[in-house]
Amino acid sequence: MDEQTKQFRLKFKQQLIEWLQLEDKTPEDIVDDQPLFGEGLGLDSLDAVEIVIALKREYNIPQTEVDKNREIFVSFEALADFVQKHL
Amino acid sequence: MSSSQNPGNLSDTRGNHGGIAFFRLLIRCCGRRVACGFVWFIAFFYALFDGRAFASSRPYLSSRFPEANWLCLRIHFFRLIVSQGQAMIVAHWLQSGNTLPITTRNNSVAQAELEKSDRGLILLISHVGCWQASLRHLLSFSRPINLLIQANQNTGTAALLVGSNIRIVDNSSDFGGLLECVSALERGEIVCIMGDRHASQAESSLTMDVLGNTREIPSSPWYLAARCNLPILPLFVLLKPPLASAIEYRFVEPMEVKTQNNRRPSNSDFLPAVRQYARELEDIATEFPYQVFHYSLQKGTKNG
Repeated sequence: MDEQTKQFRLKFKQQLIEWLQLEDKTPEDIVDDQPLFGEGLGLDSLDAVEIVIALKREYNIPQTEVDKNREIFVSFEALADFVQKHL
Repeated sequence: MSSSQNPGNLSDTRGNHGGIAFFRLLIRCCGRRVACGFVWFIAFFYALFDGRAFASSRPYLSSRFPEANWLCLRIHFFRLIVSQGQAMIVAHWLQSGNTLPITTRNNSVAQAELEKSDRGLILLISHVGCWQASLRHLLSFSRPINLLIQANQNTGTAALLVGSNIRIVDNSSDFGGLLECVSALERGEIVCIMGDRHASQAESSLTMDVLGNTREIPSSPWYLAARCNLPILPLFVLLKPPLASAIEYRFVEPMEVKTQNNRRPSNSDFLPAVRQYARELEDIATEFPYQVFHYSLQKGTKNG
C-alpha cells in the first residue's frame, strides 16, 4: 500500500467515525478487510444511507453510482478504494 | 417469517392462496357486492375460532372501545375481520381491472409536493382500509412507484398489483431496501413505506403511542425524509359503506422532519412528526374503527 492510500484510508476512517457518530471507535478499531455490516463493524441499513448521503455531500459521488456497486460495502477496504478512485 | 414466528403478522392466515382463489372465483361469478356480503359469513367463523387473531387485535380494540366487555370486544373483532376481508376483495376487484367510485381528500397536496421539484415523494401507508389500492391511485401521478415492504405472504395481494410502474422493494434485502429507496427518490419517484408496523427485528425502529398503546414502527421513512430533505405524506385508503362500495383516498398534510445542519438524525428528531402521524391514526380509528388493522402481541400496552 502506497503512502497516499495509507493517508487517505486514515482520513476516510476518521470521516466514517464522524458521519456515523461512532463515538466509541477510533480509526484503529476499523480493520481494513473487516466487514462493515452485520458482524465486523456492526453497521446497519440506516448507516448505509448515511454513508451514501455523505459520499454525495463530501465527494460528489452520485447515489446511482453506489447503487451499481453494492460490493463496495463488503469491507472498509472496498469502500475506501471505491471512493479513492473517484477523487 | 412464518406467522408462528411473528405473531403480529396474521395476514398470512387470512390472505392465504386458497382463500384468495376462492374469493377470486366468487368475485368473477357473482360480483364484488356478493363477495363482500359473503365475507360476513366467513368472518363469523374467524370471530369464533381464531383466538390468536382475537388476542392480537385486543390491544387495539380494548383501547378503541375501553368500555367494552369480552363479548362486545368479540363482536367488534368480528366487524374488524369483515372489514379486512372486504378490503382484500376490493384489492382483487381493482386488480382485475374493475373500478369503484372514488373520492379524494387533499389530493392536490400530494400533487403539489410532486410538482415542487423533480425530487421524489415519501408516502406513508398504514394498515388501514384497503391500503393495497393506494398503488392503483398513485399511478395517476405519473411517477414510478416503489413499495418498501416485507416480502412474505403479506405482499401477496400487493404483488398482484405490481405493474410496469409499480415495484416492490423487499425490506429484508440488502440494507433493508433503503438504498433502492434513496435512488428512487433521487430519480423523482414515489416511495411508499408501511409506517405503522415494524417488520422485523433487523429493522431500525422507534416507538409510537396510538390510543394508549405503544407500537414499534420503522424509523426508515423518517430517516429517509430527514436525509433526503423531503416531507412525509401519509395516505389512508378508506372503504365506504355499504359493502365497500366506494373508496376514499385521504392524504394528510405533509410532515416535516427537521434536523440541525448536517447532524445525523436521531429518533428524537422524528418525535414531533411521529406524534402528528399518531394523531392522524387516532382520528381514523375514531371515524373508521373497523378499518384500522393493528394486530399486535407486543408488550408495553397500557390497555388490554
